[in-house]
Amino acid sequence: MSELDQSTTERAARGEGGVAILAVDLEKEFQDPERGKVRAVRGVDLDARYGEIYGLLGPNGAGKTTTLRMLATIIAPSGGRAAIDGVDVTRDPLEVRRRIGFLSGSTGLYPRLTGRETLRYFGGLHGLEGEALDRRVDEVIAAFDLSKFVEGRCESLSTGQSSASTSPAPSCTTRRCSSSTNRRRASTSSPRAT
Amino acid sequence: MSTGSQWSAALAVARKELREGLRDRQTVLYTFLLPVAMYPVLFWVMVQGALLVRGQKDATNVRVELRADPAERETFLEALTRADDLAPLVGDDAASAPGGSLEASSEADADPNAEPAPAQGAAPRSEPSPTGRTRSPVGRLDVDAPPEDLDAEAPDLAFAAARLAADDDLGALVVVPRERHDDAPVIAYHDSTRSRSSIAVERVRERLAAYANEVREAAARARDVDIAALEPLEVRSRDLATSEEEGALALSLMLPMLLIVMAVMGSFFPAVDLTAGEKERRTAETTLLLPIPRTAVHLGKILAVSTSGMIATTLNLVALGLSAGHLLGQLGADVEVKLPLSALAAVAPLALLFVFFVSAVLTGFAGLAASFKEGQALLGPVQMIFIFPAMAASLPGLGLTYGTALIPVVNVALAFRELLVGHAELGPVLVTAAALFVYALVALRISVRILSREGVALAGETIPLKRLLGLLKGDGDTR
Repeated sequence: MSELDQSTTERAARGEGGVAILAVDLEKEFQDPERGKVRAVRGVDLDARYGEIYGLLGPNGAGKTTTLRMLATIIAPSGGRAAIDGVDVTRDPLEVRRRIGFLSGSTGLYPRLTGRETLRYFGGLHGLEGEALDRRVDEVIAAFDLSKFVEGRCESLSTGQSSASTSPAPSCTTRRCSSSTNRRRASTSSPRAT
Repeated sequence: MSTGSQWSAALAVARKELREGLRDRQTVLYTFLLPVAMYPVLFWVMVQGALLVRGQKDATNVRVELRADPAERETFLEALTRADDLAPLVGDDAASAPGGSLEASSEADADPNAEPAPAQGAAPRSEPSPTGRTRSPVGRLDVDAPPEDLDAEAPDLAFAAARLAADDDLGALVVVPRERHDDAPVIAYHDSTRSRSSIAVERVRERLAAYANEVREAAARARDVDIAALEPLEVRSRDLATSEEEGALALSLMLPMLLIVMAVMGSFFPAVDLTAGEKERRTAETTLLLPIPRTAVHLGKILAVSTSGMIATTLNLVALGLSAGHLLGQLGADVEVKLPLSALAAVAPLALLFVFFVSAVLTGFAGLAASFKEGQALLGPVQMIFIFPAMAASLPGLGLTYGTALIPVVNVALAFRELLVGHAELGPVLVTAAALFVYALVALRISVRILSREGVALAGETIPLKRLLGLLKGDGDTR
């Protein structure tokens, strides 16, 4: 994690200087009924530039997933600031979600929808409709080679097919930042700025 | 392995399973809590419902019309109105006093020989009883006693039906036959499908029975004969309700409860599936990543749950309407069961609001659970907050008033009942609809707030109900 000076931070927070993902002194506290206040993340600084693959490494419980969840606006930071593509995650989480793709071990596919229905659902909520939506879904199916199982329900997919189907869901619309985590690789998480 | 060893091993397994099972919230709930708590709660609700019914009946003012020859009129007017001692008393005796107070307001005022009686519709009054206690001003029985002579023929069924149909406030028509020496009974015409009419006829029978008993006792003493040797005054009540109206009443007692149960059951599983089930399927985080406001996400879920509940309720109504008449007809009862489309149409808007209210409540609670199984266990007791009041509301005698229209669940059950019978008054039904709308909005707001909490949306374990208030007060909304 790099130390950022004030002006660089301000520029990065505005999406300037080629910084796609920015976190400054990011913090997360939870209120645990048994343990009281728990500081899950403290003082995280990072900046990932467009085109970079950024590895976030740490032991179990270090706060990697929590950090990524804050960047993805799934949860709100308790302190510090973060911006994706120049959009503050606290001030405009909706716009952040429109611009990112996020995959983790806990982002499952809706089992009772088919692959195509899943893609249409995400595409529709990202503002695509009509022919544009159909075209984009077909493009994604072709790009990720999903045609063999895209008409079946996601619950019937094998583990490999499921992984293959999960990746394109966020790709139904054009995005500049994506993140995926893979717990099988020694707790490695990797935000990717594209 | 010897038999003893097998038993020993089996006991070890049983101990382990019990230890594990007793650490399971559902097992504890259904093994200990529910058996211990259910009956006291059930009986408490039933007693409260019965007290509510009795209180409402005692407090209801009813009016009857007395038709009798002038010679008999004063006697029966007195019999019906002299039961002041039966009036509920304010104070320690209030609970033990049966029946309502009795006042006479008589069209016989036109008769110069008649005793002056308070004008009909006069403001209820409180006055000291002969024992110095204050008489409650509620639960009057007003008696109209037209001065004209009876026709050669006593008023018949058709006449009574016309009188009750012409005057909605009239509870019963009491006809004393001209030739009472033939032991012809006094007839109280009423409409059993109207709660006010049932109360009126019950009060008339009570008063006349008390009066007749006194007369018989006095006569027996005067003649020095056994009271059993004297013919009692016979009072017959004759129901003017048609078999179709009775069928509607039977349905109206049964259907509200069924409608409420079906609305709850129709919303139950979708509520669990779309919240706790989503966490179990690991799609909760996927949903939180949707590029739409979280309020829209949770509102969408509640709408989906409501739709399921509404479909279940509608299909149940239709199936019941199609089958009830045929199946109940086979019982040979003199009751014609029909479910007219107009009744269904009248019930539908309230049912829609109610299902929305139920769905918001159930979805909010189900969101606290971490898995489908725990969601089911959590909603088991929660659904009782709908079913118990519905049971209480199905007790006969309780009616929809402006007061009961504000009690959640009870109001909708009573409104369903009165709409199905066709006796609903517009005012209380509108108040019920407005109250339901407000309750549904409040439930929706609270549920969305609960579901939006980070601690709820991503909880790895079921959140105890005792933390519910903390969840509503604290920070940490997902956005």
